[in-house]
Amino acid sequence: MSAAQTARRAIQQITKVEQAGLNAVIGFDSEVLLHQANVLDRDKKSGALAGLAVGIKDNICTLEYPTTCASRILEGYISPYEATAITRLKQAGALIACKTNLDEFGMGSSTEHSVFGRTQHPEQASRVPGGSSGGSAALVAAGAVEAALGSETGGSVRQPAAFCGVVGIKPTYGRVSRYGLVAFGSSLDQIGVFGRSVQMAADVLCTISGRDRFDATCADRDPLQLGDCLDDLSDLTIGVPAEYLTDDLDAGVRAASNNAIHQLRDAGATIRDVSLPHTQIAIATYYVIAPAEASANLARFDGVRYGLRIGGDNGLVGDMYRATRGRGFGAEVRRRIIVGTYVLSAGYYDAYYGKALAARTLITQDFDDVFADGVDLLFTPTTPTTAFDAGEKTADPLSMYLSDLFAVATNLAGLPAISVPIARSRGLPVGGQLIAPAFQEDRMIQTARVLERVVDQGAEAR
Amino acid sequence: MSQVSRDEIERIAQLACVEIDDASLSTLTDQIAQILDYFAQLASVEATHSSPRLHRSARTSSSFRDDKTAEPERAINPNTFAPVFEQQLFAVPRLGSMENE
Repeated sequence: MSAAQTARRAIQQITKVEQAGLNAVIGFDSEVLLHQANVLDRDKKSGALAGLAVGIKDNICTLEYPTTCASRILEGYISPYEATAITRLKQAGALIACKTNLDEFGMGSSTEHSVFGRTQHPEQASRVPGGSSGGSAALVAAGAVEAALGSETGGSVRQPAAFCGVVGIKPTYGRVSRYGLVAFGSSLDQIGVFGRSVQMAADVLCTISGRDRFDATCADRDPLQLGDCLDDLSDLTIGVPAEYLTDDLDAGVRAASNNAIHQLRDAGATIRDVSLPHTQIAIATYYVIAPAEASANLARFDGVRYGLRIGGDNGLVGDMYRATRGRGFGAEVRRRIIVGTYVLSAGYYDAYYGKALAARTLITQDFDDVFADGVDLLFTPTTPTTAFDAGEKTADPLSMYLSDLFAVATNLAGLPAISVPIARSRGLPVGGQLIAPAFQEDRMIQTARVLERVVDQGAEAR
Repeated sequence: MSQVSRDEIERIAQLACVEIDDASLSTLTDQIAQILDYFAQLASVEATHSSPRLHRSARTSSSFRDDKTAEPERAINPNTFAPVFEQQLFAVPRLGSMENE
């Protein structure tokens, strides 16, 4: 199939799902996509991803489309440069299909906090696709593109992947360059990948990974390469942390997770009960550190150099800052900036931020201890529930934050994780996640391939 | 509920340069109080546990460029938009207050 044929198919599918109300796409031009494809065909360019149409979360800078972060403060903003991940996709022959919807600046778990309106769940319109990378997840799940990029700061790839029934990979912190990813929490942010299969997502991850001189936090490592497929898991020990299978876990998620654990055991893995004792403080730790970092990273959006500008006519630059940011940011972003500023302010710094840094060390140590004790990978449910209703949690920010419980510890520890669809519960997808030691994406992905093969993703969990 | 007041939230908003209208301030104060209450569980964590060396980026070798002088890499050539750009500097009109300098 030529790149032009792939592009035309993607155009048709994107148009169809958007006209049906999915609202996963916020930047798209069929002529831009076709032009890329025609150039690829004309120049007979080949590559590992030749002709693959990829959706891009709109907090990743591209030259083809504006980069808005789903925020009024960056409405229409055209970046003068593209992210390293984008450059590598194009070098591999991929097509930049569109920009996808997200919670504003990556802050949210439902893709309801977007200036462009919420994204629907691809199967049940009244539900959320998860977030913040909900647009990318929904678009892949709806079959409009084969793969998409998202980003994680606290579960924002894995959670929507689980909700939408697709594969989502969060790499080790430093595996993929952050150059061109609009910063939210710089010690946490990573570009991640969605795919309809483990292989597809892994192929894209391999392409975008590897050292980058433009990102000093990017590890000095070659791009990820995957080994041979595993026939079975007989050499593997998989830990199941007790803190992730609590008594109050959703019954369908519990049943799906237990089934997946049985399947992993039948595939030859040794299953071991383990403990990550500081799991319960992970949410509090994350929601101190991430907003603190966000309050610094979003200080640049002030109406001076780019984006929205309100006021300033009276010559008072402080008034311009406050009006621009007050009206340019949405409610959730403003809330997190206030929380982040508070926990860093004099008199509160030690009580909140200092404690959170210490807690982060303990959480990281939990994982290190388990992996040092002979466990190769961890398996847990990706989320405590299936996709919730739109509007269910928007009035109660804390309840929204608590839905990230199974995700954020991994981000705090900088570890890689992958969510794979493992079953259904009351008709909705359920995701299970594998967590690996740092830079062991190879083993994690090979195991995920086996998991994908042995579970029945469409079966109702009982 | 955490004892954070409207005045405190207003002060923090000023610090953060974010305008919050009166209609939103009460709701925002209640929400942030609830969030700070949730953070109270961190109080029992010993601060001495903090160890920056355990952060992933501190334990990973990064790639550094060679320490060689080079032209800065720019996405856009300043000569395409600046009236005067010489010796890597933007020339601007002298400010009125500096006339006598």
